[in-house]
This record gives sequence, C-alpha cells and structure tokens, in this order.
Amino acid sequence: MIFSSITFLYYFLPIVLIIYFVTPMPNGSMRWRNFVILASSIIFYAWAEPVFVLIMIGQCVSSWALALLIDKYRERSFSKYIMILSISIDLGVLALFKYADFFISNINIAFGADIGLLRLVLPIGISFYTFQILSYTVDLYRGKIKVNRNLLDFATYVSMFPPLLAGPIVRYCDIEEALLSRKHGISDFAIGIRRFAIGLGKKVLIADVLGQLITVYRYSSENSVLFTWMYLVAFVLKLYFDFSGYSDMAIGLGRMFGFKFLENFNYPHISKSMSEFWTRWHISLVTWFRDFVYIPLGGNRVSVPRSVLNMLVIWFLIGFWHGASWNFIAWGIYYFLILMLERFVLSKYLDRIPNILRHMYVWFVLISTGVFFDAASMAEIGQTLGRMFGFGAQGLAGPESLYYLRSFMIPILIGLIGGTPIPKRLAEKAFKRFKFLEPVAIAVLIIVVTGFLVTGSFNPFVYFRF
Amino acid sequence: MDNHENKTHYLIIIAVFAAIVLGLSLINLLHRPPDILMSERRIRETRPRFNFETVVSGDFMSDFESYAADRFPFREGFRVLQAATVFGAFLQTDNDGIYFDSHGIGSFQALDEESVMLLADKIKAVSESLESQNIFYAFIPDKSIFANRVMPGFDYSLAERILTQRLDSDGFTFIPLVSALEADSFYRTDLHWCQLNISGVLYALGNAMGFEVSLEQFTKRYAGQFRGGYAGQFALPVQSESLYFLYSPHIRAFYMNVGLREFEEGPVYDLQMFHGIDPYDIFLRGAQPLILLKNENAQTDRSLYVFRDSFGSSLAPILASVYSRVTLIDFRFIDLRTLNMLVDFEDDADVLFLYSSGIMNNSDMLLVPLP
Repeated sequence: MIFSSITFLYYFLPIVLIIYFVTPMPNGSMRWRNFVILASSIIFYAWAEPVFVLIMIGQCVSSWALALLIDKYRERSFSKYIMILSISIDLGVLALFKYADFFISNINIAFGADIGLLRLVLPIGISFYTFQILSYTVDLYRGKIKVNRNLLDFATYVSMFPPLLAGPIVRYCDIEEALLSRKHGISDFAIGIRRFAIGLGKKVLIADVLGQLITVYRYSSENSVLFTWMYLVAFVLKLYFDFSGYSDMAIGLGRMFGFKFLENFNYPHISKSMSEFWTRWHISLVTWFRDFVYIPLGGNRVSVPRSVLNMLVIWFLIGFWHGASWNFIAWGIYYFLILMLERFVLSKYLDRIPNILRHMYVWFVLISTGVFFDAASMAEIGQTLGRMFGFGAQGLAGPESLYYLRSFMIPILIGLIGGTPIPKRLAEKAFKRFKFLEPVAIAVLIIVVTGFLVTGSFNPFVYFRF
Repeated sequence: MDNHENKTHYLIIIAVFAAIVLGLSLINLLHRPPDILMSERRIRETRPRFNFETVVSGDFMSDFESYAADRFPFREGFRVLQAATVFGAFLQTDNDGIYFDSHGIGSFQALDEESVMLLADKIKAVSESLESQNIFYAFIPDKSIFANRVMPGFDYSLAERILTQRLDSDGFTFIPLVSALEADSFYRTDLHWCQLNISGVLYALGNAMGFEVSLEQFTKRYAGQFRGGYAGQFALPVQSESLYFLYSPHIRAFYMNVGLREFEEGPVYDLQMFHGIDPYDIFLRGAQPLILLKNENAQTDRSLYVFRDSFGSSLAPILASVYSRVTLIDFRFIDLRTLNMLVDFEDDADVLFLYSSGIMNNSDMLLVPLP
C-alpha cells in the first residue's frame, strides 16, 4: 500500500486513526495504542508483501531476543558476539534477498561458473527497517539506549508504517521515549496533517507528473541532446519530490500519532557544493553511515590517506545500499571522487566564484549522477552521458523534445522553484496574513490529489526498490 | 497568534481534513455507482475475490486498488478536476496523450513497430488462404497526425514503410490514405472518421480498385447529438456534435450469429445503439465478427471482402453501392479457422484490408494464427 493511493487515504488511514484515538490509554500507558500501530503496520506491510511480512516479523523477534541477551551479558565480552550474531542475521537476510544474485552473477562471470541465480524478490523497505534494527542493536551494545523488554513495543518501532517502506531511517534512541509515553495534541495532529498534505502534493502533483516525461523519454525513439537533458532534469526533480514527499508524509503521519521523526531533507537543491548537498539529502541515511561506519573507522581523526580510504568505504557502501548493481556502486564511487575533488581542489575556488555558478556546478553534478542512478546497466550510463554532449545523439532537438518541452515547461519550473524555500516563505507570509488560507490550501491540495489518484495509474515510490 | 487563536486554527485544519477524508470515506462506503462508466465507455472494476490464494499472490491487493479508484464517489468530478489542473494549471499540451485543438479532441500514442510487423504477417497469412488476385490494403492514419501542432507518437510514415516493405509482393496493392484525409474528416470528439467527410478516401479506394462512388442513392439522415469516446477521456466539458449517416433503402445487412452459424438480417444503421455506450455503434451495430451487406441496385455484381476494424463500419455501406455483396470480417471477434468454416470465398472477388492505427499498434488482438 502506498500513501498516495485511494486505498490508503480513504480506507486504511481513516480506519486506523479512528481505532487509534478511541483506544484507551490506561494510566497513560501507550501499550494498547502501540498495539494498534503494530497491527495496522503489519496489515499495511502485508498489503504490499503478503508473504515477506513474515520475514520482517522474524527479524523483529530474533533481534529483540538477541538484544535481551546483549543486555543480560553486558558486562562480559560474550555480549559482543551476540551483537555480531544479531547484526549478521539481519545483514544476512538483507544480503540474501538484495545481494545474493549480484554476487552469484559476478562469480559466474569472473570464474566462468554456472551457479544458478536465486531470483528472489526484494521485500519492499527491507533496507530501511533492517537499518533501524541495526541501529537499535548497536546503540544498545554501546549502552546509548535501554533494552526494550516488550516485544510488542519493539515490533512497533521496527514495523511502524509511516517510515517503514522508504524512511526516514528512524533511530530507536530518537523515539525511545515516545514509544513509552507520548502526547497527542491538537497542534501535533494539525501540523501532521499539514506535513502529510504537502508530501502528498509533492509526490502526486510534481514527482508523478515529471515521471511521465521520464517514461516518455524511455520509450521514445528520439535521443536528441535536448531530450536527454530534459529527461535528466526531470529525473533529478522527480527523485527529490518523490523521496522527500514520502519523507514528508511519513513525518506528518508520525506526528499525527504523536511521534516526532527527524528531518530527512533540507532543500538539497539549493546547495552550493556537493559536500553541502550531502548534509541536506537523505539525512537519516548519511548520519546512519556516519555514526555506525565512518566514525568507528576513525572518521576524520586519522591520517589523510586513511580518512580518504574511510570515505571510499562509506561511498562504496552507500552506493551498494541503494542497489545490488555496478551502476549504483559506480554512482557511489563517482560521488566519492566529486567529494574528494571538492575537499582537496575545488573548495578553494568554489568559495570565490558567484553563487549562481556554484548552483550550476551542483546541478551539473546532480544531473550527471542521475545518469548513474537511473541506468539499467553500465552501458546505458555511457550512452546517456554521451548523448548529453551530442555523442550518439540525434541532433540537438527533435519534434518530440520540442513538444514535451512545451508540455512540461510549467511542471519543471514548479519543480525547480519548489525545491527552494521560496514557496514555503511565501505560503507562511500569506497564511500569517490570511489565516483561513491554510486550511483552504490543505483542502484544495487533498482534493486535487484525489482527482489525480482517481484518474491515474499506480505510481510506486522510487525508493521502494531500495 | 495567541494560544487560543492557534488552537482554533489547528482545529479548523483538523476539521477540514476530517471532513474530506472521513466524509469521502463514509460516502464511499454507502456509494453504489452504476456498473457502466458511460463517460469512459467501459464497465467498472468489480470487487476482487478475497481468498487465501488471491491474498498470498497479491492479486487481491492490486485489484482492490483499481476497484477503489474506479468506484470512488464523484469520480467524474475528480476527473474533471484532474484534467483542469493538467491543462489549466500546468498548461500541459496533453493529458496522458489526450489533447485538444481547433479540430477537437484527439489522442496519440507511440508507434509499436513490432505490432506493425505482426500485422503485416497476419495480413499475409490471411491472404494466403484466399484465392483472390485483387488484394488491396490501406491504413487509416490516426487523426493526431492532422493536429494543429506536431504531435509525438504515432509515426505513420514509418508504419507505412514497414507495412509496404513487408507486404511487397505482386498480389498486394497498397492504397495510401494520408493525403485523402484531413483533420475535419474525423469527428471532433471521437477517434472515428465521419461518414459524410470521407469522399477523399472513397476516391482513393475507387481509383485503385476501379470504381467510382455515386452517393445519389443515399439520403443524409440525422441520428442525434453525441459526444464521442475522446470526450469522455478528455474529461472537461465539450460541445456535442451531430451524427449523420447515409441511408439507402436498397442496402440490407445480415449479421452472423456465430453460435447458430447463420446470418440474421438487421438494420444497417441501428438507431437503438445511439443511446448505448458508443453512439458510433449505430453503424452496423458496432462490434460484429461477420457481416454481409447486399445491394441489388449496386453498380456491379461483384463481391468485396473487407478485413477491417470499427472504421470499416461507416465506410462499408457506401462501398455497398458499388459491390452487390460486401462481407465484413473483424478478426478481433472471429478467428481465421472459424471464418473459413463460415464463408466460402469467391475467387475473383476484391479483397481489402483496412485497419486503423489502433489495430496497427495492437495487432495481437487479431485472431489470426501465424504459420
């Protein structure tokens, strides 16, 4: 089930909200309400993955049980091995479903072997909830959090439906208190609605509309320079509005249920360098890798060559986390090279050039990385990169690209402006002056989105596949 | 804002959200829409079957998504809103391939080259089972190629090139129709051509097949005002247009009852169909596998076999003024083997394959097995 669907908006959500808020909280205990979230999350996940929901439940139980042992043997070195066992189980499940065929096919190529592929379907959201579990296990071992002895509460944390399928990756330490005790205020619920509506609009009215241009390009026989650039700009915008739209909806829904998830995006498209971009994009993933991999490797407090190596490891892993294929690894390595270039060479010059050129530099990198991200193969990366500069392209422009430039001009402009804080500032000014405008805007947004959902086809979120 | 103002403001937001989401959910529960979606000319999705197998396979969930969207209350209004946003706010030139210009509403879709090749192979396969030496073929370009602005999608010249190359043999004569048509040859709100506006097509066919059509024996009759299939897809309100037809008392239509394996006479223009899902179905009752038109007052005593789609329904009555027997075969509803059991093809008859872009792009619909 996806948030931007009639089933979610007009069946699942109202039912869950009603049941949740009529469920009592005896002595302020969240146990029953957590149970409502857990039950609804399992239904939510089973709607997308009716069989794999059992794997998620299995991972919950094993990680929870092993966490009890980590806590029990905290004073002995034995707890370290239990932590390693717990991490191995979770990473093993992830590796089995996500990476097994990648390794098998590469072994087959490298050694001329003929090992059969497993052809397992990747359970939706497995990369996200696995990382949530891992953060719990490691933080518990480090003594940063208390063990959760209640399986239902722990399962609620892992399977909580708002961030379940595409993040943000919620760390246990960030919602530990809220799991046990949280307030359900009118302001929280209203702010949650606002955030959810904004995310819904971003996804359906911008990302999905721009997605049409991407689809058109993929099926078109015209491969002109203009069309390639239009496709890549649309892809960069779609990726942002799709993913940040999902995060907005997840954060908004969490707020309705009394949880405050950390932000996952902070206007990444206004960045003036790629280093800045990665402090604004998919913040929960970057901080996860920083805290659980980069810092344990020594972070910046090591020699320069060693810190470069650490960065290489991090970017290899971030690329590999996104997908089990060489183009994602190449995407990660490409970012590593760009960031190293910025760190050792460009940083001196970037500070001196006008902001407009810095934004153009960031956009150029984003567009070129989009080539890696959306490619089906390494060969396609070369083809698309070539077409951007006229190699292998059918001229500068053709009838189709000109037609679609005209047709998608406004959605692209909306996307470009929508990625900056300008709309938010304007809306805040308008809503401050005319308070009635905000509920009206939310109503219009939900109704127009419903129009698109009733009419449109199924548009899953891009990050579901990770 | 003080706390009280804030609280009121937040309460209004919650109330608005609840009114929309809970309100529409409640209406949705009580809402029982008719099974037929007249504007979209189709039957609504039915409630998917709920059992262990459909749940485990995920079919129930995916089917339920379509069912929920299809049965949603005020669906028509929401579609209007969507189209208004696309055309009015985003200023897009089409809405999922549906466009509007001074010639009315049209639709475009990309050419499926493989489908066109398959169509050529199927035409070959059918013609091999015929003895006729007079085989003609023509393709009806989509009306989008006559639109005001250059539309992407259906590359008719490429389709024509593929077909003519693949059917390049002595037995086939290609009749190009692009120059015989213009934007106004088609209804403003429908994909079909207008029977009154296809004189160019009749001339092109006659020129190649050796006849000259005279419309003297026909009288122009009015069926009513209608909005075609594109109007429903367009969603925004559009003006209706008139539907006329050319009537001749000498032409009789016989429809094959495949179950009984016999022809039954019926009207050439069935005005009862005008009020059905598709008013264009007044022409030879819409979807029919096999029709025989007879005209004792025809110019010649010759027979013509037309392998066709829905465009042939409005053309055939006029061709029946030339040929005394016109047999219309629609392979979407009858397969080649059954056809050969039902029809004894005359050796010296003319044969015309006449397909529109819809079939060119979806030739797998034709029930013609390839050798």
